[in-house]
Amino acid sequence: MAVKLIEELCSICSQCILVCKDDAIKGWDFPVIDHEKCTECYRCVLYCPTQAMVKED
Amino acid sequence: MDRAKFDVVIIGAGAGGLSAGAFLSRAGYKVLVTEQLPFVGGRGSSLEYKGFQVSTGVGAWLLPLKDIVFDPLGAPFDSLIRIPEVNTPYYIKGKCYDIPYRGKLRAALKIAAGDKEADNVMRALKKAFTWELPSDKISLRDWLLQYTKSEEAIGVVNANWQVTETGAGGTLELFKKMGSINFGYAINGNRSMWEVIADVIRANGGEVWTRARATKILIEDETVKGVLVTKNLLKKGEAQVQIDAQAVICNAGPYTTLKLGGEQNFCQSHIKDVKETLKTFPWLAFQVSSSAPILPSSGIGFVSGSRIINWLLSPTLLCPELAPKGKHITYVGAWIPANPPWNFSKYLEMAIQDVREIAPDYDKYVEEILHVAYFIRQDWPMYRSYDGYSLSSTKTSVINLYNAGDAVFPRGWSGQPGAAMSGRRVAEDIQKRIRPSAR
Repeated sequence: MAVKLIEELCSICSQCILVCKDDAIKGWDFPVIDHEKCTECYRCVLYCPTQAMVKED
Repeated sequence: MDRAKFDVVIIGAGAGGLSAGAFLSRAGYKVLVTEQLPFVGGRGSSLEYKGFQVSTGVGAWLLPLKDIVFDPLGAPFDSLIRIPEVNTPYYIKGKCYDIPYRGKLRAALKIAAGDKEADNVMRALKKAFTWELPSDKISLRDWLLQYTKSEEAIGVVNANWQVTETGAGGTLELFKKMGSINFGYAINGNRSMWEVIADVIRANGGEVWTRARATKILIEDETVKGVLVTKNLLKKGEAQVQIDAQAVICNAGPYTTLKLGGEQNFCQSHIKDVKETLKTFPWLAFQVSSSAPILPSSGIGFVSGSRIINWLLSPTLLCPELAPKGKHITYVGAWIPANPPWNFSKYLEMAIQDVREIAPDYDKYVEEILHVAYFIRQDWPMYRSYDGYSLSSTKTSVINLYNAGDAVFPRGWSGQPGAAMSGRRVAEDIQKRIRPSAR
């Protein structure tokens, strides 16, 4: 299951970038996920305070 | 479904929730704090990134927290905080002024705008403080414009606090109450300070669950009955638990309280209050790492006459523990417009340009942008409301369901001390109304 950003919920707090172990999230605006690098550990989903990062079904 | 019973459940381990929980557990209540994130402290916390303690929001620690929370709870504070000697220097037109504590605002106004404008503003403030504060029908900027046309003078006030969106009355009450507030830095990172308060709860028989998301506030007959919680989020033991409680405190914002409780369970007047009063306070904060100090002062810099930035500080000048050996963190804050359309990359560019003008060695020593945050939404803002636009009560229309945090500041309060104070007031109210179960 890939990780997806719901932009309408994102506050651009960039916590996902700080906690990503794979260096797979970039951008000092709405974050962009590099699905090639992402190993689906879901740390970004866990650390997102606004529930904007979700597991895609 | 598993079931558990507590006297009080608190949703959210931020300044308001943890403070309420600590005071209640000290008073003998069985308290549970649920936090969806894997750490406590919310926007007043920190995360480790490449060896740096990166703030999740707050720039520095407001010292009033000592009297409001830490001292009354018997928790350590002084040994965990370092205080810059020149506490809040002003950066005026790119130059740093270490102005002594007393009469600081007047001195800064004089430097920026001259004696006459400084006198005009100070006279107006004196009248407001000693006769009557204005209302929140106008912004602080519009109030100031009645006394000075000098943008330099208004810029000095704006360096202290946002002037265009805040209510004149609420903000002046904050100035009156808190005066020149002093700041400090948490030696081991912001998060360690809130861990201390979480430990108070644990030491008094309470529990703090991280990775535990409240999914529903249970309400019957306009009275709160408990909370449904998903614990161990994204872990093997992920499970739903029903927590029965006599009172629930929501520290996740009044909108979330409505969402979790279901709007049909609240009085129309309360719903209107939330939707028509609160005005989200957004802002930009970014942190950069450098191989040498780039700021001339270890204080919490108030910046006027800049494009966009208002606060500028380097905690590592006093607390090298916050960064790898020899490295520094510089934290920069800026007010951004209250409403979209926002142009984020432009704000960041303007802010970096502002810092360059104050720190000529910026390009020589800065190595990396560690963190850029915009805090634009009600769920994770700078504050859930501008001063003058918070809810007047911590009580919701549902019996024993309270809000705590930065949308329900007592008037004249702000920041972490305000959020903590709201939690403390809720704890006091619960102690008057509900008895702890025998343990």
